[in-house]
Amino acid sequence: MSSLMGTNYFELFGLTPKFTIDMNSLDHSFRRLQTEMHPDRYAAGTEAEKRMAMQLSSNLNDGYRALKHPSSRAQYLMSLAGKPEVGNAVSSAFLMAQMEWREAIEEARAGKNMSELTSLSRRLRQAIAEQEKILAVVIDEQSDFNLAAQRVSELRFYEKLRVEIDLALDALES
Amino acid sequence: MALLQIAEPGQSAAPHQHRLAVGIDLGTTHSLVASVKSTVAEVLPDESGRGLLPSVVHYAASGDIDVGWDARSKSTEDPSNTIVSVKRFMGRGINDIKDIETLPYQFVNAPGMVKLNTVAGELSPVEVSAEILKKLRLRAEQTLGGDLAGAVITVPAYFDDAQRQATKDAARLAGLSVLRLLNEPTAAAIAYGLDNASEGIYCVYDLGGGTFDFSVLRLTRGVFEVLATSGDSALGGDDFDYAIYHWLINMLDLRNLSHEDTRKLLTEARLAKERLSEMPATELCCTLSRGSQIQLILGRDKFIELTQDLLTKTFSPVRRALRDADLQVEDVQGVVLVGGATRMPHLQLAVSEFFLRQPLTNLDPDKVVAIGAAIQANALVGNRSDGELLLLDVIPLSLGLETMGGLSEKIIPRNSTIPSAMAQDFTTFKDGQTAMSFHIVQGERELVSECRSLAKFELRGIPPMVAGAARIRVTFQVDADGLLSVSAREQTTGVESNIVVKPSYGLTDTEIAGMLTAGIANAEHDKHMRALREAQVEARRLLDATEVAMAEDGHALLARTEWAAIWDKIYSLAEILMLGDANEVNDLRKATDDLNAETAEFAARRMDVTVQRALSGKLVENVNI
Repeated sequence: MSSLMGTNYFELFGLTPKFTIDMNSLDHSFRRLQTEMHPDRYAAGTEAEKRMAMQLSSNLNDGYRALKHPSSRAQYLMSLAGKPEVGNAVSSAFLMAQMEWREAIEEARAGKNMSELTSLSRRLRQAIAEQEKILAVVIDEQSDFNLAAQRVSELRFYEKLRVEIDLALDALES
Repeated sequence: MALLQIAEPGQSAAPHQHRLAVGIDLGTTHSLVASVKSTVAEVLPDESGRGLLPSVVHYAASGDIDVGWDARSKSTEDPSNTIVSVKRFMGRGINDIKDIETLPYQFVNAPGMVKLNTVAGELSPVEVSAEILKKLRLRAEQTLGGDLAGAVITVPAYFDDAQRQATKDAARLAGLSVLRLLNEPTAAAIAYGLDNASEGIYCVYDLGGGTFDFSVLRLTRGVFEVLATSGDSALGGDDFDYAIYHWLINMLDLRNLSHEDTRKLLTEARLAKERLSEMPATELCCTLSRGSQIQLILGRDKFIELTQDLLTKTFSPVRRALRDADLQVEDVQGVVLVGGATRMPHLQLAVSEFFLRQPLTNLDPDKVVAIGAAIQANALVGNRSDGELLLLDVIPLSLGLETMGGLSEKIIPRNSTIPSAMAQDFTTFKDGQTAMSFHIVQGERELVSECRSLAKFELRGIPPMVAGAARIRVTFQVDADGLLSVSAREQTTGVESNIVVKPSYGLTDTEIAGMLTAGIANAEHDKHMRALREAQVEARRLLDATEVAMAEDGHALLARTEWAAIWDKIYSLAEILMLGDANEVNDLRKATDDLNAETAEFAARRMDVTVQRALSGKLVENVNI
C-alpha cells in the first residue's frame, strides 16, 4: 500500500511531470486504477480491505483532481520543484485588468443583465485558456517557477471570477 | 454451502455461490425492492402482483402496524396515525418542513429531527421508514427464499449528511445489512446505461414525490462517472398536488378544513394530476365530511399555468450542474427521466425544449431506480464476475468548518468524487490556548448560519504555546456512502481527537437499541435474535472473503506459519458459526474479530499486489498508445 500512497501523482497515473499532459491518458489511468481499488470492489471484503480501499481510492481521487485542473496541476509541479508558495505578486497591468473585470461583473449583476454575464463568462474562459498556454511555456520550456507562481496566482484570480459570475447567474435564474 | 469446503483447506477455490442481494428504492410516495435473478434485474412484486408499495404506515390503537396499500386506504379515516411521505421528515427539524399547516400530524419539536405523536407513542421518522423497509425485506426474503446478504438503499443525490445518516439508521433498524447508499439518479443511469450500452454524457432528471435531483454523468465502458449533481430536496411531484389543492380551496373558498377533508382533497388533487397526463381536462369531485359536495373541472392549460413556477424552478439546478461540469446543452447525448411525476406531458415538453432533444423514457420511471440499485447490489456482493461496472459518485453539497466571524471555510467542495479525504491546517489564536472547538457545516453559503450544522467537537490537551505556533490538521473523510467523519490532530505533539460525525439529529446506538425494544412483548428475545443474525451474516461474509483470498494468494503471499495461523482462525470461526448456538453471540463476534485481525497484514499485501499489477498494466498500455 505504501508503494501507492507515497507515489507522486504523475507517476501514479503514468505521466511525465509536465504542465502539458495528455488528458485522455490521465482519464484512462484514473478509471483503470479506480476499477481495481474502489471500495465497491471490496464491499464483500474484510474490514481491513475496506479501510485500505477507501484510503487508496481517496488518494486516487485527490491525485486526479490535482492533475485535472490546470492551476492545481501547476501548483503541484511547483511543490515538486520545491516551490510550494504561490505568492500574491501580480503585475500592475494585471491589477488594472482585475478591477475592470470586477466592475463589469458588478454592473451586469446589478442590472440583472443575463446576456452580459453570459458573454463575460465566455470572455473569461478565453482569458483562462490564454493563461494556461502561457503557463505551459513558463513551466515546461523555461522552468521559471518564480514567473509560474505569478501566473498561477493570476489564473486563480480568473477562476475566482468565474465562480462569481456563476453565482450571479445562479441568483438571476432562481 | 461454502462452509463444507473448509473441510479441505486449499484444495479448491472457494465456490462462487450466489448471494441474495436487493436494491431498495425508499421513495416519498412509493417504495420498491428489486433483485437480479439469473441475469436480469426485476422488481419483486407482492402476493397480489403489485411492484409498488405505497410509502404509507398506519399505526392502530390495537398496536397493529399496516404498511402500504392497507395503510393508504386508512389515510382518510385516520389521518393523524397514517404517516404518508415520511421521507420529507428524514433528518429534518420542524422548521424545515413545508406546508406544515396542511399536515394532519402532531409534530414534536425534538432536537434535530422532528418526531410524530401517534397512538403508538412518539415516533421518529427513522422508525416509520424502518417499517417500510422491513416490509420490503420480508417480501424479498419470501420471494427469493433466504436471508439477504445485503441491500443497496437509494437516496436522493441532494440528500445531506443528516438525511443520509437517518436513512442508514432506518435500514439498520429494519434488520438490513447496508452494502451502500446509492444516489437515485446514479441508480437510474446504471439501469439505462447498461440497458442501452450508452457512451458519452448523459443527464438524469429525477422528479420524485418529494425531491428533485439532477445529475450529469460520463459513461465510458462500464464506468459511470458523476460529473456534477444538484437539486432541491424540498421540491417534488407532491408540490404539483398542492398547487391543485390550493387552487381548489381558493376557487371554492373552503376554510377551516378538517384533516380528513384536507387529506381527501389532496388525494383527489393527486388523481386529477395523474388523469391530466392522459386527457385534456378532468373533473374533481368528492364529498366533504360536512356533507357538502365538491365538483370542479380542471383543464390541462389551467394545470400548466398553476404549476409553471414549479417546473421553472427545476431548471435552475439543471443549469448549475451543467455549469459545474463545464458543459453546454449541446454536449449532452441523452436525458433520462425518472420518477412518476415525469409522466406529465408539459414537463416532458419543457425538458425536450431545454435539451433540444427528446428525453429517454423507455424504462418505467417508477422502477428504474430500484432496478439500478439491484444491479449495483448484485455487483457489490460479488455475484457479478465480469467486473465491468464501476461507479464514481460525488458529494452534492460542500463540507466545511466554521471560522472566525461565522464564516464557512470549505474543506471538501461540492461535486468532489467520493471517497474523498482532505485536510486543512488551523492554528491557535491565543497564547497558551489548550483547546480548540470545531463546528462542521454543510452547504454552499458563506455564512455558517445559512448552512446546515452537522456537528461540533473539541480538540483538547493542546500543549500551551504562543498564539499561532500550534499546527492543527483537520481531516475530512467522506466514504463511498457519502457519509462524513472528521478528525483533528495537533501536528507537533500528535494530540488527536476523532469524531465520526453523527449529525445532532442522528440516532445514537442506545436510541436504536431502545427503538428495537420499544413496545414489543418479547423484546429481549427479538433483540438477541437480531444481534445473532447480524453477527452470523458478518461472520459468513468474512469467511467467504477470506476463503477466496486464501485460494487466490494464500500460498504466494504468506509464510507457512502465517498461512497456518489464518486457517486456524478460519476453523475456529466456522465451528462456532456451524453450531449456530444462540447463546454464543459474543463468541461469534470475538472469533470474527480474531480472524479480521489475523488477516489484516495479508489484506495489506494483497492490496499491494493489486496496486502493483494495476500500475504496471497501465504502463504497458501507455507504451501501446
